Amino acid sequence: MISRLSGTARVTIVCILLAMAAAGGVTAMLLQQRAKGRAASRPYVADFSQSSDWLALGGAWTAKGDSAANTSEERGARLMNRSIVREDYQVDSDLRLDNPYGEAGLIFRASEAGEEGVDAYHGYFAGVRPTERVLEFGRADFGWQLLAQKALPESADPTQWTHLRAVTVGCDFGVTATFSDGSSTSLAATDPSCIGSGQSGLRSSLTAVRWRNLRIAPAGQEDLRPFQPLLALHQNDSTEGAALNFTPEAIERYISLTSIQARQHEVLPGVRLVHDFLTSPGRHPGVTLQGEIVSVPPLVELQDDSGTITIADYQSEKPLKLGDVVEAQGTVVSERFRSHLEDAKLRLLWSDTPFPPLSVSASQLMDGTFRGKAVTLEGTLVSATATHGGYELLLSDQSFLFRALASNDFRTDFAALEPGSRLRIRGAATSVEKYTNNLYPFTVLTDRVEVLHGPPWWSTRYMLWLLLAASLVFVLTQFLLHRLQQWHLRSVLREREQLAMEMHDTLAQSFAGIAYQLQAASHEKRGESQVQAHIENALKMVHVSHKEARRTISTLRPQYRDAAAIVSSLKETAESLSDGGDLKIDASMKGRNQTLPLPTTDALFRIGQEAISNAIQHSRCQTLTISLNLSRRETSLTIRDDGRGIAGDEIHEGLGMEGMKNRAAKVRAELEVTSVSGAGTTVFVRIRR
Amino acid sequence: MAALAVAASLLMSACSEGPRSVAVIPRTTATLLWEPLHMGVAETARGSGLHIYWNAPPDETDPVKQSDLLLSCGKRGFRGVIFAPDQTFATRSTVLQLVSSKMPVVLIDDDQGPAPGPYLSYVSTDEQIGADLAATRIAAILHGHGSIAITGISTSLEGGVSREAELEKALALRAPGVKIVQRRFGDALITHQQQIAQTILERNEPVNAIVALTGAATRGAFYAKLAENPRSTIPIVGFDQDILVPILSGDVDSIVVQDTRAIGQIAMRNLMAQIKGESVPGFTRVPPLLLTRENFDSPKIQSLWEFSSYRWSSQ
Repeated sequence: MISRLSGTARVTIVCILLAMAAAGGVTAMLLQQRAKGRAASRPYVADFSQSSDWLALGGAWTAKGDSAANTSEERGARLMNRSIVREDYQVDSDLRLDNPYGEAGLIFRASEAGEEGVDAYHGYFAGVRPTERVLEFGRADFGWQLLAQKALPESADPTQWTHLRAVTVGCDFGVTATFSDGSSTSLAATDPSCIGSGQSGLRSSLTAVRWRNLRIAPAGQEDLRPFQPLLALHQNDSTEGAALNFTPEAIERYISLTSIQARQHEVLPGVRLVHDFLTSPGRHPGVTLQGEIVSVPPLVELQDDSGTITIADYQSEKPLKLGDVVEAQGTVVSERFRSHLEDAKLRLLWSDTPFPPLSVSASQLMDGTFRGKAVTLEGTLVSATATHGGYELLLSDQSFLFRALASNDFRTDFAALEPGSRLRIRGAATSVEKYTNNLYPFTVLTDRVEVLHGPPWWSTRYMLWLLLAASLVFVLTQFLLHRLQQWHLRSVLREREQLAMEMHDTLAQSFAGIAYQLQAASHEKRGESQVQAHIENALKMVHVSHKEARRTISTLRPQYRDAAAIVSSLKETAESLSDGGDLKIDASMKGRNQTLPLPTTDALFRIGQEAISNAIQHSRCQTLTISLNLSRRETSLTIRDDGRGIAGDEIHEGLGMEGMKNRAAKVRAELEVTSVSGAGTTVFVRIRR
Repeated sequence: MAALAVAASLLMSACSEGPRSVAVIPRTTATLLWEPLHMGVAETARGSGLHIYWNAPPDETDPVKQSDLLLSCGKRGFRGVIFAPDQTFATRSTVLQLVSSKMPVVLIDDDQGPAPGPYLSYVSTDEQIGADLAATRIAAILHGHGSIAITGISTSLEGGVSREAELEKALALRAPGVKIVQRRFGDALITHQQQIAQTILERNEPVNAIVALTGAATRGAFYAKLAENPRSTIPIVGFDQDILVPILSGDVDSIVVQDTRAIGQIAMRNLMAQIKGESVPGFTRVPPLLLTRENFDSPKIQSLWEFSSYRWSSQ
């Protein structure tokens, strides 16, 4: 269809489509802006179960409904909200630190926050630091700039639920921390070249933390009013943000808190090493071990300096998390150079940054040296299956096939785990039958899955898709080629049919007439003169037929198929019929000359020829006007004379009207014949494209 | 066509840091050891039109993550890289790859092995001077006689090995009467270092001083002293600034601090020159300083901590 359109028409259609697409895009943007505006005016209450709204960077995050927790003590761990970007707003949340050291708080107006790193984002942070006993506020630009700091109240205990509120309006900021005993402290700051808008999030360092009731709401000057006196003070006292505080009281407090931490980390008396039991088969009751949890349920592994041991069953006051250093008392069962701890009583000593995992290959895990230890290894994903609360991965590395079990978390998008992808997994490997089903050499109980890169483009799956696409293209091409050939054949046949009809209407009829006249001459008995009359008639018919044949041939030649040739040919016809009389012939063409389809050329010429013939033979006209009008949408021909006109009934019958109508109908043209008595006749034919 | 061109340019800019960015990858960030380096780099680059990308793993014991970060620098179109390796050998191949792709690299605080050249130079602390400072201090504390334990010997770093060797040489020269009775390996885990120090403090023949060769070992020795009951009074001479309060409280006698601000300045100058194709010294050694309670407030020492009020948005 489009191929039959002219170039200009095609450009117009493309422009219209582009304009429509642009208008659609602008409308969508306006609607989105409006929706954003509406959303920005409403408070947002965090639902941490919508994991797609959150991005975890570092740490070990768990969440349920309106509460989230980072159980790791990794420095600068963040959980960023991906759905809300605002300018002037207030963030409220409750938080509780697990330890009396470290740091935790809220991030706001953050951008470029998609990378791990202690201060790897642009934005603001407000939080509490129990060791220094301060509430602090500052700006991160991949480096930390302290903007304000305020001492916590004497009785404040950040290891109890603390309410933190940060208000940001323009370039002014206010932060308040309210503690469980009702005491509170506030600070305020102005950042002259502030960051204007951004995302919000949670952040912690060197301590496990819980948050709940995170709420983000629009803020205005009235929300900043309680901080105005502090803001004035901040502007007059640029030293408030001094980072290093070495007063005797601060030193004494630091030493006191650090002593508590240091005593927690002492090696307990009577502690045995895991390695001691590997070469002593049997049961060893009443053993005390001390080590770090490197794998959490379902497979609990404890690691000390000498090795790792599986804790088969245990009692613990608190849920275990990676990095917990525990005292474990129970019975060590050692067999076949493997041991496990039964009836264990676990006591949490402190929480630490998890052991750095060893980077190993699947083949290294085969010999058992690294089993139970915290490891990272790479593998190519063979399949991923969702299970209750997690997923099961089947991976291969070189010729080894192994299994990994993982729980759902913020870090891994299960949908992104495409077979063929290269993954790096972190966890502890085991060859216990319960996890390997005696099918795999080992299974890795995984706490982190990272997609290194997606499947290669030349994978079997992609090749099949490519083959399918190529087959479709081939079939489509064949179909189009077939349709093109069919269309060409139909065109040829249509032209042949047209030509046959033409010959039937003209030459065949003429030959029949000539034959009739010659036959009449041969049978004529009435005398020589009658024979001569038949022969003259036959000769006239031969002349007419000759002229018809020439015209038909001319219409078939490409050079006679353009619009200008029709006009000149009709003019020639008129001049021939008028036979040197004083008829004034005015022939013209409007519009750009172009080649017309054969049926159109033929119809216009035939209808024009008939109209000219009628005008010259019957109207006694003085002037004959032939005009051809070409436009993008239609082609029209007008033959007008100033003769005596045609009587009403003759317009529809006689004068070759039937032939003209038939020819017009063949090309779906409109034919109008109008005549005014004494004022001439107009024949108008219009063919739409 | 114009829209396509705009889209293509946006895509290109999203995938690239642009031609005016350099990456600085220390072992970790946000510590007293590495933030002065950050400041030294940033203040030297200020006004040059170069943008600084500064990042590292949160944990100093994560060479895999650091290697990934370094590898990404080659793909992100940085003009050059300043890099402090976690482990000498873990990233050698990546460094060589960057250098062979004609990316200027300045290595900090470790001699990785490859010879310096137009695209590679080294800037590090002068371990000989540092060892001399520590040995002189030990000699002064022990009045030339006694026994010491050395903790935190880091074998995964060329700098760590040479620091220990230089210390033994310096002790032999400055304090021949001081005997080394314990040598303990070190890692970056504080609790592990504390437990190692605890075994030293509790041994039957106590030592007269501990020399801790890393920041983690220094902190571990300090924690071990605090955990003792009664609190231990054994002097600690540490290396690499990680904690300051124990200097003021007297729990740590002194720390050989790296002048990482000066290292950052020199490294950035080197990198800018390497980018321009100018030649720079292959190796530059920066003298460290001995931080004691007496010189705690000296301008030179205090200048190391000025990073806390630096406006990083200008980097």
